[in-house]
Amino acid sequence: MRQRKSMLLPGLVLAAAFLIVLPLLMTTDYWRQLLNQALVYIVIVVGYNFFTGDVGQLSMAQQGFFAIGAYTTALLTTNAGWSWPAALLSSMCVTGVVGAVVGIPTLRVRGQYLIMVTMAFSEIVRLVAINWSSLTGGASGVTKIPSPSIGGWEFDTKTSIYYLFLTIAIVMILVAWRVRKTKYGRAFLAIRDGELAASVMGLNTTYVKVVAFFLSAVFAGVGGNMFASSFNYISPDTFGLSQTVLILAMLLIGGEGSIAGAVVGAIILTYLPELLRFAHGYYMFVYGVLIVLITLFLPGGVVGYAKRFWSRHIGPRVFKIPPPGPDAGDRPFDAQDLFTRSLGAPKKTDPASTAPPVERAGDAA
Amino acid sequence: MGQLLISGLAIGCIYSLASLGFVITYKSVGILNFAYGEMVSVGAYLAATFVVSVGVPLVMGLVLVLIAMVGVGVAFAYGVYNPLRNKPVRTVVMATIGVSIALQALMLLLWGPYPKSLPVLGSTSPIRLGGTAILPHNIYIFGFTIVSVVLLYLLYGRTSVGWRMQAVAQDAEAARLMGINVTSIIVITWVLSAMFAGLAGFLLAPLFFITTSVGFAVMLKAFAACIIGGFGSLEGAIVGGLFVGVAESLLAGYVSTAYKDVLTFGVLIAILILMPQGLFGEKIGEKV
Repeated sequence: MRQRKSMLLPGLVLAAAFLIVLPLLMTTDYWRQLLNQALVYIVIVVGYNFFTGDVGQLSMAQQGFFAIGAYTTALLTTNAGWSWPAALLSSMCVTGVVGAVVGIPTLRVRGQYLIMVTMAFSEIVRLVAINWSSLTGGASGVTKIPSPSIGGWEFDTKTSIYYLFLTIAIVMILVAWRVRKTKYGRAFLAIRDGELAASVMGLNTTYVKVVAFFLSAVFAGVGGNMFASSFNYISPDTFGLSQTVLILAMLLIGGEGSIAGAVVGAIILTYLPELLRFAHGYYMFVYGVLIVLITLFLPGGVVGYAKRFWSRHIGPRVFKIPPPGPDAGDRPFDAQDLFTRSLGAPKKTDPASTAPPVERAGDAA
Repeated sequence: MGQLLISGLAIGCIYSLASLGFVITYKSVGILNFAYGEMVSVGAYLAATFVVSVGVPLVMGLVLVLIAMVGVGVAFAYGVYNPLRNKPVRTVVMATIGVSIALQALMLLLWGPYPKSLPVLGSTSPIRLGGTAILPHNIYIFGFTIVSVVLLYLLYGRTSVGWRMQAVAQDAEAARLMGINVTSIIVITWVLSAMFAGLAGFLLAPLFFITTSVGFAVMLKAFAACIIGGFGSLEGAIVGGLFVGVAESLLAGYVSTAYKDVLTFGVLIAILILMPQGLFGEKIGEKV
């Protein structure tokens, strides 16, 4: 423990130094743009994690909120001439209100039905953006969205936007991290592990789910603001179904139910298309296949795998009851686990193979 | 009014067919197939390929599409569903979402980004009936729908395969203990579902431009139809499909063409929240 603490400070300083010089290492504006894009997705996916990772309910609404946030900022800063901070606040408010208003009736449905309803919601948002052309500019979108500026400060280069977005992303990550320590954060996990049990313990599960949905929406609103003001152009094309799937894939690949996972997933999938250049526009095919493979072979994503790897091969041999993460959440922790663990031999047993999968309450269909 | 009703019923028939294919897999394996919309798109693209590019006659094209969809269904059953059968529902659903995106990309790869089209069945000159004009294509749609619904009911009610399918839908474990080969019955169910998707895609193709995303809206509407009719009932899927088609047509005619889909999806959300049991269906309270 002592050793850990002494390593924390230098580690933080090193990480901060790395993040500060990062844009200077990038050779082209395009790569700096990708950095900013990664930061946008980090905020969106960290928010998405509240509802889909922590509460464990699959929502396809995040892209709808993302679109609403982006359009709010775009329209307020272009047509109404609002300042960027005011637009940011408005994006958060609008998505938050829409999130609560949509969430209160919708979240009474669960599981597969919820996926459909939230898909329909996102599709409604996209269709309105296309058809209400007097307000949204229709299919051609909104152009010439001003870059962020605070007071007299103009963030008009990719590098300056990077530092602004890095600050926002860190603040949002800290907020998310703090929320997990509150009673709501614990309530989210309680619902994921057993909605019925949580409600029997006196938790107002619908209310808690609405809170998680609301938080997801607000984060998407911030992401939408960042997206619109850094790209200076938005159109309904950006907010198709593939956007939702991208956000979902980021969370799954990084590791659902973990903030680090959300961050890692957002970074990986922002840069993956660059590595898949040979596949031209068809990397969506790779995403689709990746989602299937990850759900099958790597539940818990990259971060979940790294954690397991660490505790098995590198970390101190402490036997602690694993937090019921997505990898363990498919079945209750049972006596078999205690038995194998007390023998002190955490063998490579596949948890899925030892017990038949038990449907969680939320999955019942 | 009459005009709107006729075109609404025609498109409603297509939604009914799509809903039937969507609901039969749900009935037997409890999974909403999120790749179903792409199956419809594949059907439409195949129709355009056979009829326009290869040049076979329309009816022959339909037969070829249905045969090809058997292949799609078998591939889906063995390639996606069977390996995942014993996984939690969430995993399977997630996989179908992955498959849907992969299929969309694959269609883009195979058929390119430009929309395709298909000629209508029969002649293009409408038949006058009182004050309303009916396109022969619409009559074909009615005919195909009635024939395939009757065939589906005969299959379910009069054949041993149909009885086995019903048994598996009711209780797969008990069916297995009775000596029914559950795996093959489930494969047949997926094949049947894919064939309905293909038929819906084929009939839809002349009415819309064929794009990779044409099926997505159809899937959402098929879902709406199932919810309206009451999830899990075949009659509900048929009536719900007709209802959605007519409602959409009337909304487009009297309210707004641009917002017809927005309104339809809004109605879907409202019904799911206010009347989860649908107009005349099983209660899905616990299933939801």
